[in-house]
Amino acid sequence: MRHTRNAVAALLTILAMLLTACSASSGSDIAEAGRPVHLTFWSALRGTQEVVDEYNRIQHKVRVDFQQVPSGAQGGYAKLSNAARAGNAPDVATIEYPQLPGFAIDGVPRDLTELLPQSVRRKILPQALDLTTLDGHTYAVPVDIEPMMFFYRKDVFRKYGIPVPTTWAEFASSARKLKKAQPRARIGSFFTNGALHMAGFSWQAGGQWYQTSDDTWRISMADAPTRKVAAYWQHLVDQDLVRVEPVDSQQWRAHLQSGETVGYTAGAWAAGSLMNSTPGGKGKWAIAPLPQWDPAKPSLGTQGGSTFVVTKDSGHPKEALDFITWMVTSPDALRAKLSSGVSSAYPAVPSLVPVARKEMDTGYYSGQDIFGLFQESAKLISPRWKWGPRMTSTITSVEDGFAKAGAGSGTVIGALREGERRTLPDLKSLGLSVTTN
Amino acid sequence: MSTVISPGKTRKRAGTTPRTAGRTRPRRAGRRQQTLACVTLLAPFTALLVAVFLVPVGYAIGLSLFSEDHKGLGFGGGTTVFTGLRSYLAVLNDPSFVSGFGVIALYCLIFVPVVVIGALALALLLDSGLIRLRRTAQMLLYVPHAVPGIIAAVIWLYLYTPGLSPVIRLFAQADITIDFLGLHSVLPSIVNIALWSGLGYNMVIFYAALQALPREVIEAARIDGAGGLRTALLVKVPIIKGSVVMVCMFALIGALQLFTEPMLMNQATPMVNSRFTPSMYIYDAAFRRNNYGLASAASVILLIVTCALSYAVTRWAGRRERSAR
Amino acid sequence: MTTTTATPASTSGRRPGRPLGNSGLTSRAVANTVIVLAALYTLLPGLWLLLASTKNADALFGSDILSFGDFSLWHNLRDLFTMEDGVYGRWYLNSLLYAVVGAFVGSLISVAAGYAFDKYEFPHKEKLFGLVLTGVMVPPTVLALPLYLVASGIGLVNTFWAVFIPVLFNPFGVYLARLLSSGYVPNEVLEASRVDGAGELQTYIRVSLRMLGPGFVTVFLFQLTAIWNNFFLPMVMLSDQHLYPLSLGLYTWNSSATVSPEYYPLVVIGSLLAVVPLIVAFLTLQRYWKSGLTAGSVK
Repeated sequence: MRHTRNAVAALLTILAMLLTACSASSGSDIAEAGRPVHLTFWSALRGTQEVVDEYNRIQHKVRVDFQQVPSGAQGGYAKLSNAARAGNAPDVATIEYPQLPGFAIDGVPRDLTELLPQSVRRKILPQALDLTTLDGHTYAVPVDIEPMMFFYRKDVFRKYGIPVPTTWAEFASSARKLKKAQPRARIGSFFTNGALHMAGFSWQAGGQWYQTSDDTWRISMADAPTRKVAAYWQHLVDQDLVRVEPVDSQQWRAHLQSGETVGYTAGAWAAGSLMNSTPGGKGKWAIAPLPQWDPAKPSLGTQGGSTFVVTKDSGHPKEALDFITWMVTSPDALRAKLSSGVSSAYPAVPSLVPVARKEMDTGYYSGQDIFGLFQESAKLISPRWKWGPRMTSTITSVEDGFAKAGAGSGTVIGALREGERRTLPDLKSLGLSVTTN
Repeated sequence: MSTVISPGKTRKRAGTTPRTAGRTRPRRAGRRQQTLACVTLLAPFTALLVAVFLVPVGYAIGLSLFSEDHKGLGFGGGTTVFTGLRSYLAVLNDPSFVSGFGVIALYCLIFVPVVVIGALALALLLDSGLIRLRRTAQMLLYVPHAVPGIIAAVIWLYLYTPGLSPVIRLFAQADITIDFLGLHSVLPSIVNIALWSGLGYNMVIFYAALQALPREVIEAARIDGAGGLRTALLVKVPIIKGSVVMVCMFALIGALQLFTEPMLMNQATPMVNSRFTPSMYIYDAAFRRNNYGLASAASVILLIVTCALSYAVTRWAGRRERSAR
Repeated sequence: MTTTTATPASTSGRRPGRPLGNSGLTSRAVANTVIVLAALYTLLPGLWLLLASTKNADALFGSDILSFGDFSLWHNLRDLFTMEDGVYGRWYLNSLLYAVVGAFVGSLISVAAGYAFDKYEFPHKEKLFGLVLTGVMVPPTVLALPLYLVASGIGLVNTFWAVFIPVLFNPFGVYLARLLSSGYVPNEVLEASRVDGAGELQTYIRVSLRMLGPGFVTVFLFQLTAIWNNFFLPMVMLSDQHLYPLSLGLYTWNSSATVSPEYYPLVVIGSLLAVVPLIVAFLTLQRYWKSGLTAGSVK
């Protein structure tokens, strides 16, 4: 009897010692006897609940509490700013590329330069990481990167013998041909709320709206490449070769469904969005690379795409970053997200592309290998683009100008100039160093 | 020595001059009671005055003078320092803020004449005795004032929306397309909402003023052979000129605060941008541009402009009142 | 500022006279037509609202306003109160709390202050009243953001009190109450009450307040309208939908409607139910309203 008891006691002691040794070496914040670390996570991206559930399922050291927030433009960013001001921002938040510098200036995202290991950096597409590294410091981890593509109704193009354009010159001539063949159809739209589309086009043409040098912001939203692009789209609008309407509006969707608009230029994510909003277009749509200015020197911009940040308020930055790393690099995470619905978001981590490709239902685009196409296009993304210090404000002003230009009052380039001008008060009142060309 | 002692009162002074029965309380003791009562009655309101009016205004002024300061590129957050008039300069140089006042000016140019002439005409008609069911008409015309601003705006917005509006549908059947939300039609559309809400209210004000006109003046005009219309325009209107100007001024002050209607229209049409009026500019600066320095400076500027205008009106009215007596 | 002194009840100082000159039938016809047109202009939007409330989302966009094919009034009502776990009912309750309770408490405060200004003398009285008048001049929209900044600084944003306390502040009510107090409560009554040995506050509650009755209702009505109408303040202060008043709630649903059209009929019928209380209050209490208007003249 006594022997057994002694043996059991000895065993328990050894077990206890082992456990203490284990918990001591696992480090970080599991201070109170193995209770999991709680992380709060805000996102507007679809499918995030499934990703969070998966993470909570596969490990128990960290428990993520997810809160769905409105998309940035619909109030999500205001919510984040207010929370950060009050000192209770979530541990992990979602910020799109254009707004990241603005939030970095407000001191919301944590500087991840030291925390992000080289092994993870290597996995991310360089152009994507470039966009989240400001003044030498990395403030966010990219989730997806969205090269701009041209979506078109191949049945309509075939029917009227319209060539699929590979250059912008061809785009204009195809637009003309289409309008002649079918007066009610247009090859695409000029989006009155498309400041970011225009940015993507300027990016492709070699424009550089924002540069930083000598610790100063140099703003030039009407530089030569941008002027070329703006004049091009102005021509299309003036000649009634494209629709003029807001993207994501009732009328835009109606035009797509009725076949009055047979083309759409947007980031790669739009492939999935099209599948959801126009199910009747199955088998009719195809995707082509965005037309180029000079086929010998191809280049590309992006439209859309998000990043994850660890906020300065976060009490568990390491756990937060581990969670983020898992989300952007793990095939399980991507599969969980895609289980909630169709998404063609192009992962910023190229090793995940095969996973996305496998999950995609290729029926809609008649078996086209859209991810292969995205991959080729992503290589062309120009690394020279930077987003500005107050994009939310700039976008508002530019789109106001676009709406007026679309109604016949003002021009596209005028709207861009006004947008630049109307952002200066924001920058001046913050004391930032700014020069304009 | 007085014999009547009020319950619960402490007599501070002993020995008072005798008075006739019934009037015994010396003034001094009563005054202390009065002071106490006065303070009690005034206290809640004064507390509100400080908490809800003085403190916020002071805080806004403070915030507009101290704001976030970033150096160079600004990454990593800023420090809050005294920035003086920097925010004010930024606001006054902001084309969006200035254009907001431009919009208000244009709005007033359209709205004020229409509402004044409309309300005046209706009031004169009601006063002329030509109208049957006068009281009913008055009541009906006044009803829009009971409709909260946002609801009035929603109703009219739907009446402006293609697909929902019976008006647009009616004209479409005759092959005429009207666009109430286009670049040049959006401001008149907003004016219409304000007109619908304000016509009855101002009509009642003018009617009350007309009712106060002395009968002799009207009779004198009639004896002189003036017809109804001439009496109205040449006799009645000049006498109530004070009310007319007052209504104009208050319409102006109301216009400076324009927020609800354009905020709603902003959701429906890109022709109303998010900084369409000064109030919207302030809201946008605080919540979308996340710039409290700009927002508080703009608030203070709007406060000053509104107060100056109100003060001018009150002084003018006071002067007229004094001269009229 | 006043054209007449406070007159209780009706405004008729002079009956509209007989038509003058040779107006005859044409003037009468023209005048009545104009009034009828004006009345139509006033009423037709309301009529549209009533009719539109009976339609569901498809019918709203599709059919003619006068067709009664799909009578969905009860259906819409049911949807209204069940959408998003009955948040509309919550909004209605919030509006009643902010407006009715707020106006009641606010009127008590304002009337007390106005009475004090009227009946008592104290140092710097007119200076303080000048401050009150400044408060009258400052419109609520301009104060809203500074209030938000203060509330944000002390952590009171997005609470019931963040809206309730500011709406209690009604300087115009104080101004009006001072006028009405001088009109309704003669000083002799006060003297008599003092002589009878009643305390000041007792006098106020038992005697003055009773005499001020109609005046109190006037102040209450003005404040009720102002609070019910207040849009900017709740918009700035509140982000939790459960604290929204009706105005903000319907605004939010309307912004959702562009993406999800099933909200359109809800906004329509929600608006219909929202206007009913104030219209009822107006029609039943209009004489107090008119007297308040006369007393405060063109304010």
